[in-house]
Amino acid sequence: MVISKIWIEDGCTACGLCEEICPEVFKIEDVATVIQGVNYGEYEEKIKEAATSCPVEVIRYIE
Amino acid sequence: MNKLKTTYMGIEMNNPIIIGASNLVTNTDTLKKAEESGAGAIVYKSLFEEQIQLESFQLDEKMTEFNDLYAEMVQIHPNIEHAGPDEHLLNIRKAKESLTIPLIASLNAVNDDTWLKYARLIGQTGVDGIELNFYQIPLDFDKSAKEIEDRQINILKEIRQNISIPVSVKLSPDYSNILNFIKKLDEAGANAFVLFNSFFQPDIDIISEKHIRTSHFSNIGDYKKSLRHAGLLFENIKADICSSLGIFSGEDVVKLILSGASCVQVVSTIYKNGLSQIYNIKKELEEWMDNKNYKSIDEFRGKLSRNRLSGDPFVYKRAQYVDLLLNSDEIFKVEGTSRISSPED
Repeated sequence: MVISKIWIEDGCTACGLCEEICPEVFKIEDVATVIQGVNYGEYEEKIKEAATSCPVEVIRYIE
Repeated sequence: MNKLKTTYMGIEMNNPIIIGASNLVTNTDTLKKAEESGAGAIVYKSLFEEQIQLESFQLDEKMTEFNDLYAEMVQIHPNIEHAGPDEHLLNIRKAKESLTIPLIASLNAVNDDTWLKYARLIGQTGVDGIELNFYQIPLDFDKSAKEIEDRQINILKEIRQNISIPVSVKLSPDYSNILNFIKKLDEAGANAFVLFNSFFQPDIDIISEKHIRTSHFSNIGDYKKSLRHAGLLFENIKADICSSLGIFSGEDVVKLILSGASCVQVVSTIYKNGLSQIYNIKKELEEWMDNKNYKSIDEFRGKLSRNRLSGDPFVYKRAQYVDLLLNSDEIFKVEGTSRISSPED
């Protein structure tokens, strides 16, 4: 299964861990944001690692 | 008057809440935000010798990967060397210049000579102190505990003799007799002990049958080992105690100071709750002090350490566990029946 959609739910603390793990997909502004236009399939492992590492578990994705 | 004021290895701080070494506060913006949120001090993320070695190796590989493409070609890239720790040192210097609160550098080296070399370089950046991360993941069946401890004591002595800023030692609890080891490090000149480190532990995905990286945040309540050791060490060593690991709230901070800590380091609670948690922790601490009518941290620091205990003398021993066993029938009794099964059941 390929990741087709990623989003950030409310509650991000802007800790920067997702950007540190996968800067190709996540960017910290006031809170974490998902960079659009990226082929998420190329970064699946890193996206999943960012989601499981998120201390407040707000990273969601659909495969 | 600021009642939260404290002193940590000779460094004056507005309050006892230090943001521990992590990637949370690395750039100038987040450092400023951390200062504005009321942190007493910040430990800048660690300088890892292993990371520098790896980056240097990767750069060498990149620089030479096409050198054998043509027989006539000597090298395709100009001679460029990895900057080593220079970038990190520059960032520490910039961080120090941008802050008014104390900044402590953190060092994880590998080789005996680089411990001293990097510590000296860090000492020249203007930071207020340096934190040495001593640990040994047991992988060698032939190395004794004494060898490991003697080596780390010698590294500390060398650094202490060669740099003038205060030096703290951050330890894991995994030493045979950590009190004896801390006593020796104390005699070797450590200004403070940070108790304790937390490490990544391996885990396995049973579907893919591969090792996976897991979150290594501490959890609420994980501070208890730090609390025990603060209580055992207070007034038995010259160095200050900074408690670390699983400290989430103002209530946790109160407990650790009562045990003997001069200050605490927080990381996981900031990851989970954001920088505003510093404000919440300070508020809870201040409210508790007001309720108890304490005017300063020193008034209650170490009040419940082993040396000052007037009540239960066994609280820092295993007596609680013995008590649990002796009274297990009572403890696990539910509506007149015991939940402990006898072997005949």
